[in-house]
Amino acid sequence: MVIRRRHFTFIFIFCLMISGLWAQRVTLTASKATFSIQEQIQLVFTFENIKNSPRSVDLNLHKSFTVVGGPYSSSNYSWVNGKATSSNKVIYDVIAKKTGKIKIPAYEFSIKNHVYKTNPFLITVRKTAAPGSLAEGQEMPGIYMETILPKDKVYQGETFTLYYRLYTSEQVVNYTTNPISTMDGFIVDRFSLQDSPSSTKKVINGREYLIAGIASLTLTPTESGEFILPAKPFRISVKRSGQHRSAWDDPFFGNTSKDINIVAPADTLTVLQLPGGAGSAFTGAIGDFTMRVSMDSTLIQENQATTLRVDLIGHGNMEHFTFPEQTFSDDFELFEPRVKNAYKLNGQDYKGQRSWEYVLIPGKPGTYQFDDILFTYFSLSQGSYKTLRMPLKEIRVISHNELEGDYISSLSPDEVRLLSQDIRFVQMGENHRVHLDYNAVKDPGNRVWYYLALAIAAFVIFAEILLALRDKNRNTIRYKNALKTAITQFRKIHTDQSAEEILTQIETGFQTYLSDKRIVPARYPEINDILKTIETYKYAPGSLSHAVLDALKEKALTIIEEIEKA
Amino acid sequence: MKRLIIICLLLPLLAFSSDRTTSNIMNKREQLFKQGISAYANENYVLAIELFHQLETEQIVSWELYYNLGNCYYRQSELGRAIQYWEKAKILAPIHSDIEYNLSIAREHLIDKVVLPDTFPLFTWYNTMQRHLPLNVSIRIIGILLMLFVLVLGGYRLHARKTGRSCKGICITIGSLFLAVMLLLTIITVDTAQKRSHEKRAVILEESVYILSEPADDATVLFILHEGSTVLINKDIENEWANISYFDDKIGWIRMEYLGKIES
Repeated sequence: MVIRRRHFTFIFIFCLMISGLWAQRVTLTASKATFSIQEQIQLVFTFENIKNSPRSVDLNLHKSFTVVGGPYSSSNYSWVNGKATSSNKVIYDVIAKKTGKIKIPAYEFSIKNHVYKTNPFLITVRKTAAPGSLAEGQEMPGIYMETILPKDKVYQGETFTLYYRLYTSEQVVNYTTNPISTMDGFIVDRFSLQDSPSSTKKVINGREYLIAGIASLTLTPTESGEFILPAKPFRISVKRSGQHRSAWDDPFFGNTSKDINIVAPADTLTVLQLPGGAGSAFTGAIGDFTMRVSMDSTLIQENQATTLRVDLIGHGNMEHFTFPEQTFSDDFELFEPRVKNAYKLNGQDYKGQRSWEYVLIPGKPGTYQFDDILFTYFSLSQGSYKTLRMPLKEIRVISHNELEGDYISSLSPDEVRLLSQDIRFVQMGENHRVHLDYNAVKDPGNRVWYYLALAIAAFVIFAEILLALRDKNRNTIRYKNALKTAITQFRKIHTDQSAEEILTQIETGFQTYLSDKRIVPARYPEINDILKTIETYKYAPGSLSHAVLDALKEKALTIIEEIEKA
Repeated sequence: MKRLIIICLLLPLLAFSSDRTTSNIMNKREQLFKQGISAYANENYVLAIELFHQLETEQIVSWELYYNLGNCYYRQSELGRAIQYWEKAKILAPIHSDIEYNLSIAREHLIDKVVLPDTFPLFTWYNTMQRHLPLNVSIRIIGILLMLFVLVLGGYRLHARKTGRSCKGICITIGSLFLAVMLLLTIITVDTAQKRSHEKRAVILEESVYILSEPADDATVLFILHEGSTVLINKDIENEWANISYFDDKIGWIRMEYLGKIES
């Protein structure tokens, strides 16, 4: 019974293995059978139930495709109906280089003495989706790219810039791509992905597109011939439109955009060789330039340095040439020129200025003449070589002995410029004469302000003391001045005033006097009598007359007089 | 009494005659000055120098006179004398642009050129102030500031006493401002005045002179100075030999005849 069970288990495992072996195979699929040349597709190798499957494949499709990504690998294991299956995938992102029907060949893999083979198949690559190339009934794509070359033919060594332009009818939120750092046959000067490109709107075949140059590539060809500038894939993130959120979307970080892989198509470029007969002053400069030559001093002392400066101003391949080697007299010590660059990529090529400074040190005195400074460049605007020629002034080198007693020759250029001016003319008159022993500190004229300040200070102190004393002896002063104050008050009384006013003034004058003299009215019956009379009149203004008031005034004055006498 | 009346009557006449004498002297001086200018314009620099020197001997001077003398000597290629007289003019008019300009041109001709290292900006400012500060102007400004300060202080006291209201804040602010400016200016002025009274500068008049280690012709030659270089006179012996210093660190002896004194 036990033996029978063992047999059964063995047969079962064997069957399982056999069934597994039967399912071993390799397949190759393309993500799309028909697509446009601007699209990126995936080629997927699937190794089913094969252990130790390869991680990469030699595609050998470079004539028809550019591999832009991969190999990516993924593995999958599953157990279905008691049957274990495994699959390994090797994936490549590719872009077609040409249109038409392209045959994907069969690939053979030899793994553990077994040979597996994929089936060949055909894929169809359509032309670019640009408006002019649309077939009848073919719909315009929502988003596509163009590669814009400034011209079909460039010269070897000429710097140029191509642009990648995006056409979109959808809302683009972001875009990325891998930068280009090398390219066969070219120096990559710069690959630039624009952060915020300027855009325009245009209607193409009845569909409105937003057009933006999202990237640029500046190249300088190093070889001549026909070149294919490869297609450039971009990943464009566009906003999802009209799509409802599902319950499964993350409520906080839900993705509201989708990524689209799109390709700026490849283009061909002819790189021409420069014509011959350039001459020795040509060092590879292509563009349009002007030259400026200056020397800081043409009259120098032996062993004194002078600097020759050559400036090249213009546009072209400024990064990729140097200034022709210059030869000077053997009597001059010459150093490596110092190069100053002040240019930048601007539009199609470099624009700005390059300067070369040659430091020359003469060893012997004498007069030296130099050859003209020559510079040849290939003019793009004229399509021929042009030579710039600048003559150099002769340099006079003088010995040290010659300089003795000669001030001018020992001066720097700035100083020489100053000496070319003259002293100012004499003064025509004397405005302020002083004694020979004049001393500003002792000059009384300068001290006036101090005296004034002292006078003011003295006045302020005096006034301060006076006012303080006055405040202190206020009562005594009032006592002494009582009569004066009262008389002044009584003099203010005029006959044309009303009776009430006169009465008030008499009362004020009299009361002030009594107060200043510190007299208590109750002790003097006469005074008390006058005060009572005033009070009476105040309550009976009808009985008032000027005569009565005069009498009252006289009475008050008489009493004051008597008090003063006492 | 009669005598007194006569004296009183004669006094204005005497004053008038004294005035007239002064006026005559001034007219004569002006004429000489104009003749000097005329000689300079006719390129007769020797005559111009002679005429201007006549004015100098009258004990009355002006910066214009020194300036013109400097110009004459410059035209005569006597750089040392030219610098000496322009420096003299600069003492009387420190901020006049013509003097500074002519001196700058003269300095370009100097053989002894010393480039001093940059100093702290505050020191540079202080030195510039000292160099360009007209003493008489600064003394007057200090006087005016003092007067304003006293006015503000006095005004504040009297106003407070009269009205019983205090405007302490404003008065303290204004007064402090005057006081601060006045103190700063006073420090600079006093320092400058002291420096100028003690400093005795001179200009080398010879084309090239030896500076010796001691006041004797056969002494060791320490260094050579050239015409136009300005030195400080530390002391002198019987007006024959002078101990000089050139930029503080170089000290030696020189015959007085080779020097043109700036401060008399």
